[in-house]
Amino acid sequence: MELLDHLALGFGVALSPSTLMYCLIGVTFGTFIGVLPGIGPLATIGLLLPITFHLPPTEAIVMLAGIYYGAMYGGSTTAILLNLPGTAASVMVALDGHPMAKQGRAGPALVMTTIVSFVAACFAIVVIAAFAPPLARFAVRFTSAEYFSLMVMGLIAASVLVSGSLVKGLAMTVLGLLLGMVGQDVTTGTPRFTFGTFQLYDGLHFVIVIIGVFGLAEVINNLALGDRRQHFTQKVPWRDLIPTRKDLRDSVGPTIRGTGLGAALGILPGAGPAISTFAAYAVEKRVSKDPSKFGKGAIQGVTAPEAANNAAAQTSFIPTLSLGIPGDATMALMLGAMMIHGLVPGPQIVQNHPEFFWGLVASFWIGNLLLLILNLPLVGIWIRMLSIPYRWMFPAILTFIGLGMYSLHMEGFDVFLAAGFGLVGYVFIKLRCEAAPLLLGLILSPLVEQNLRRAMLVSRGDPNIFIERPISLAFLILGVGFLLAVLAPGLARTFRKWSREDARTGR
Amino acid sequence: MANIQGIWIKNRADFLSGLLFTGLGLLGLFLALQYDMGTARRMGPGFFPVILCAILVALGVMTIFISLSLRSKDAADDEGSSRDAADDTRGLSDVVAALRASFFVVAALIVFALSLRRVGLVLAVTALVFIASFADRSLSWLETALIAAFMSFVAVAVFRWGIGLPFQVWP
Repeated sequence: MELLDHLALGFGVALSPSTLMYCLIGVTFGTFIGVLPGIGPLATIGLLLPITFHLPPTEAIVMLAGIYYGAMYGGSTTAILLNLPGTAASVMVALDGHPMAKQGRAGPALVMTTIVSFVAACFAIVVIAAFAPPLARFAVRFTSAEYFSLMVMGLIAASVLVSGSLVKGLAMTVLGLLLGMVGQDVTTGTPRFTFGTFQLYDGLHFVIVIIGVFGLAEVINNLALGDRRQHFTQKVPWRDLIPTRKDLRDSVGPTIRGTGLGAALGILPGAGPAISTFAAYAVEKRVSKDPSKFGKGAIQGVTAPEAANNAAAQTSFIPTLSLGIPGDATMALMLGAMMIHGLVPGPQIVQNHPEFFWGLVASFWIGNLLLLILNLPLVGIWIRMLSIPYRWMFPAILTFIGLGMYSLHMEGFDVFLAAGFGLVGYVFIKLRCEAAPLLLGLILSPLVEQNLRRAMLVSRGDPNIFIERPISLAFLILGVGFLLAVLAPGLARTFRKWSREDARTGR
Repeated sequence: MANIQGIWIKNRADFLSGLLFTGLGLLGLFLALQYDMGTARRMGPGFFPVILCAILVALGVMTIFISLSLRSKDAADDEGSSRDAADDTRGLSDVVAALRASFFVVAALIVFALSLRRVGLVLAVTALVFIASFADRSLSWLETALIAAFMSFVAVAVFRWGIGLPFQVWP
């Protein structure tokens, strides 16, 4: 059995006592920082990444997996308790989770998300084991033209998903691509957008941009809001934490459907996890006998998106690792972190470094298991952490940002850069420009440019190469399809409005 | 007579973002045009950035257009601006709070980064916490001192003893 061999190899790598310990540390720290209000999953992972840079590759990646799950769990905790979804993927969980919390049922919501996440991850890992190797074999035949089109599709999918205007989402993606150009051009060595600063020759470190735009900007925003920032003062009694038998029974169907949808949609590059939570929520609402209770604290509205999110997060490793195209901004962050450890994603990784690939997949499962073991008894503590006043927390967050950025290259310049990006990020918050697409653009930028250059070299300067190759054309059509899917309802509304106004003004 | 009374900014956040995108695009274009463009077959370092900047300018101009309304004043009032007004009513005190937070957060980090090598972890972290404390008025001196002491300890424990980075602890 090839499939079992792969998984056995993976667990062999991930299950040594020392890696387990790092995974445990990762889960604990990830949850600890992830539940602090005013600091989302992206900022949490960004804050903890610098610590893993100083570990050996395997330990670092296992710890990353732990941090990832801890941060995501912490993210759903703040989404449910404070209605502060940190990523697109947790928007749907907050929709019914927060009303549950208001009814004093935060405990069951949180416990169910943990259990459901684990169930979904168990199923998704089998999907990865079955589908990643064939996809990698298929992708080996991709040339730069296919990669370029695939990335364009992924970037469009990511910009389409932002809340707010599509044009702004696209602009943020392009801005991210441009930020990724900073530094020496790989092919010619020409420094670009460096403003004569020697430290920028290596490019902008993505962790600096993330910490600035997501971490610092959130801190500044919370401080500027003063007394108006979100508070959590409610007490949650211990015995209210346990889900009722009815909760469990009501969650079986949504979990199965959510997991299936998530596992299937997670394979889409650019938007997997987020899209799957929207889809899972919509499906649950449709199959429900009483759709009116959604949005008012239905357990199905919590478990289905959470299952979809976790299954998709797992299966989005398929595009992230076998194609090198991350599923969403969080995955992009993980991809960047892996690249630092010399793990260059692409079809070759599955074949040439199986111990890395399967070790990572297995460690994600273990991260989820540890989360389950750790969090079922600790849910009460995490909830209590939300009542730490922000005025005590922000100096601590700032200290970690300062130290983390300084330790990247042991010099102050990175701290200045992060501070600058913090101000930029605050401006983005004020202008309601969502920054997640910028991040994806930043990380994919060098790959996009390289593949464009190579494809154009092969075609001798003829851009038709992207539409003449069938797989490449298919990716581009999908990308345009995403754009149209979002534009169509808006355009229809605008036309209706125009005709209505013509009728009104043209008397 | 149609009662169109000129162009109205329907959505101020979108209008300003449009300006920002256009401005950054033009700045990028100005810089990127100085790099070698190369040919489509053999792209130079300027080729892709120029394309991206052009797209960014186009998207910025589109954002500005979308944020404007050619409609009559009352139509604009009952749609866009009423939604906008809810979160855009910022008085002078809000602007002061935003500037205060930005200034002290950035200042704390800059002082920390400049002093770390000279005065060591404990003093640099203390300086960071004290400067940052001005960003929030509700923090008392005692609280600030306790946080500074606690964070100095955590910093030394995690970064010096834990990961073993070559930070000096004292001057």
